Amino acid sequence: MTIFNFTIRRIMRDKGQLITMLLVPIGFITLVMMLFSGGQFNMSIGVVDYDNTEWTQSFINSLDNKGIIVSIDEDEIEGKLLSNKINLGLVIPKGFTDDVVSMENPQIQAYSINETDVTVPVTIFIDNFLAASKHIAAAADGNIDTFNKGISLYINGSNNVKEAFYDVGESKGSTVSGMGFLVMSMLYFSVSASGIIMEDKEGKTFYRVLTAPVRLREYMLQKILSFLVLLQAQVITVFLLMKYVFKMNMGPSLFNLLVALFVFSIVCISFGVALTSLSKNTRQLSALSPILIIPMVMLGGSFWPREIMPEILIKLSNIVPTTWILISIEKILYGQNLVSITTELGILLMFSIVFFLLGTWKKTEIEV
Amino acid sequence: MILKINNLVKRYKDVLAVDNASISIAEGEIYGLLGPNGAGKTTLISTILGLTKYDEGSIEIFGKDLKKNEYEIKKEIGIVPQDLAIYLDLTAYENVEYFGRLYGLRGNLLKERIEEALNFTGLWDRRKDVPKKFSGGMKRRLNIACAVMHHPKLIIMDEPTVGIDPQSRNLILDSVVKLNKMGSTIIYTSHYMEEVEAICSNITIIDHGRVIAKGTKEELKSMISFEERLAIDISSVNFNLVDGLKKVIGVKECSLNGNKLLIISEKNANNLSRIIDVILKMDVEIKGLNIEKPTLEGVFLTLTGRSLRD
Ligand SMILES: Nc1ncnc2c1ncn2[C@@H]1O[C@H](COP(=O)(O)OP(=O)(O)O)[C@@H](O)[C@H]1O
Ligand SMILES: [Mg+2]
Repeated sequence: MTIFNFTIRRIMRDKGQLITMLLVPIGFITLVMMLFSGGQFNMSIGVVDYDNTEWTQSFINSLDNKGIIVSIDEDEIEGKLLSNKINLGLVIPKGFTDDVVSMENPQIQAYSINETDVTVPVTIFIDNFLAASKHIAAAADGNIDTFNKGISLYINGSNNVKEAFYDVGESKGSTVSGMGFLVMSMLYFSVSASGIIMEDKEGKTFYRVLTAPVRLREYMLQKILSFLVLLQAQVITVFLLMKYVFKMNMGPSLFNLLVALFVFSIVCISFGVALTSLSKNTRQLSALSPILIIPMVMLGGSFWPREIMPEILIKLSNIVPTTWILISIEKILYGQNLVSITTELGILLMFSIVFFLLGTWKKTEIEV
Repeated sequence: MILKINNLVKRYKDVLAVDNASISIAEGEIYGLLGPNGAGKTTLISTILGLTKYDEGSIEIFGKDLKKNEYEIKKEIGIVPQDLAIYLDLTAYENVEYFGRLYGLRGNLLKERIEEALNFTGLWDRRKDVPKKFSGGMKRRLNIACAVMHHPKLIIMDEPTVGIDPQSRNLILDSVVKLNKMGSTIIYTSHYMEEVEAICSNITIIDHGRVIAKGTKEELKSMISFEERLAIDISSVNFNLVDGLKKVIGVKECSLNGNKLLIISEKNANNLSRIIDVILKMDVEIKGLNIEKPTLEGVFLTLTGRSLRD
């Protein structure tokens, strides 16, 4: 395992490699966190409660950790929104609670200047709270006492009801974006790591290693293995950071996420190796990698949800591997198991086979 | 024979890089492979190591066929590539360690050999430095250290002294002789005939992929010693001098370059005193006289009509 050990040693010693391995994903994710949490922190929510029941109180209290709650009059809303005193105005109509309990479809009026990023997490939260309330109402079967009990259990989170609904309530938007950047960084890092093969060729050590009792197959295998280990280290470091420093919601199964990203790391490495063997020199390699990676991550949904793209681009995005890993990640984050992503993982493995074939296409003599 | 190459042919598209070469090298030799740039030396070495496929012929190393025993054969070979092949991001120590491990050395033996190789090349004190900080000569020496630490039976050095200062060059030449004394057979490739002349016992001269001459130094030189060359520095130039000298028996050619006379005579013409006589009679003073011995450079010049280094 000499080649394996020394490759890891060399990459860990290279500042440029470390930057692509860790600094880039961490930087992007920090940025995401700032965007997602920055506005929310100071957000003011103006509430007009015409109903004023136990349920509405619980509801308003539960908004407390989303922003500062101010009780206002309905005719103040517009002025306060415009003067930026509040970011969101909510009006709960009279009879709202009764409507919920009797399974009707009441609406809370929400006002904001426009639907900025800042208010999105709150409106999602409200939607989820309402959805949960309706489920509890259904279970309570019109009994207001049972309903209130269920709601308080739901808020205090002491039983299964919370598991089922509350989890959806906490926004995973930032996690999904963070994963998008992690996916991009993995691609970049694997290309830059595979660049070490190119460096070996240009520095002639590749030639020298093959004059030793080492087969080409052995050399490649150990290199690839070292890249694989380094990519897992990258993923795990970023995960730990997301979970414990940024306290992001990593979904129900960290293990499943790791499995999916392991499969993707194979794709990344085969991509890097293919690129290395198809480019003529280090310069070409570093010019080529962003040209290929950026469209790949843009189409795949690293920067924005794929769904907002025009139909044709969504269709086109099926031919990039990033699409399939991001779909897998999203599924896992929202509670699905590995079985549900077998198709996606299968497609990813096919990508890696294609890339490996491309990488070994031109098996010329070892250039001296 | 430690290495036997028979009728080897290697083509690169339309370039015939090795043209029907046959070379035999006995154990214990320092064998010189002399030829100008592009002669095919590096290509020949690559085929010996199995890195380049060849079109015709056969190669036997240590009495075994290369193709069937590549792996075992390589263990016993150390190669000093023409281009520096060291890791600039690993320390000198790590470089040697890396190649030692590739050759299967482990544990204490590995440590001993690393120290030995670095001492041998005078780099032990700089073992913790990365080669980025090294001079050209030091890099070349590290290039050698990486090739010899596993005590190979056969060491192949491809132009190990290209582009370095004379001091490092002498150090390297000394170390080649030392390695040979320690028991390794050495193939030494160069386009500097002085180097080959200084350390090699047997020599093959190649040009355009062809073996144009081979033998011991003396054998090669005797090939061209059917003539003698005489260079004379004179005090003044006299126009009748050249004509007069050409009439001396045995003189084949006489030319004047500034104040320097160049005279080529037939071998054993014994005409030196006659030549001096003619010069003195013209009232020209002799300031210096040099009888040029045949050199490998001369051999190459005679065989190809070109100088080794153009
Ligand atoms: N990979 C290659 N492809 C095509 N031609 C090559 C290649 N390597 C060497 N040659 C040609 O083969 C000839 C011998 O080259 P080389 O073995 O490097 O000579 P030397 O080492 O004696 O300087 C040269 O004409 C060179 O241009
Ligand atoms: Mg050469």
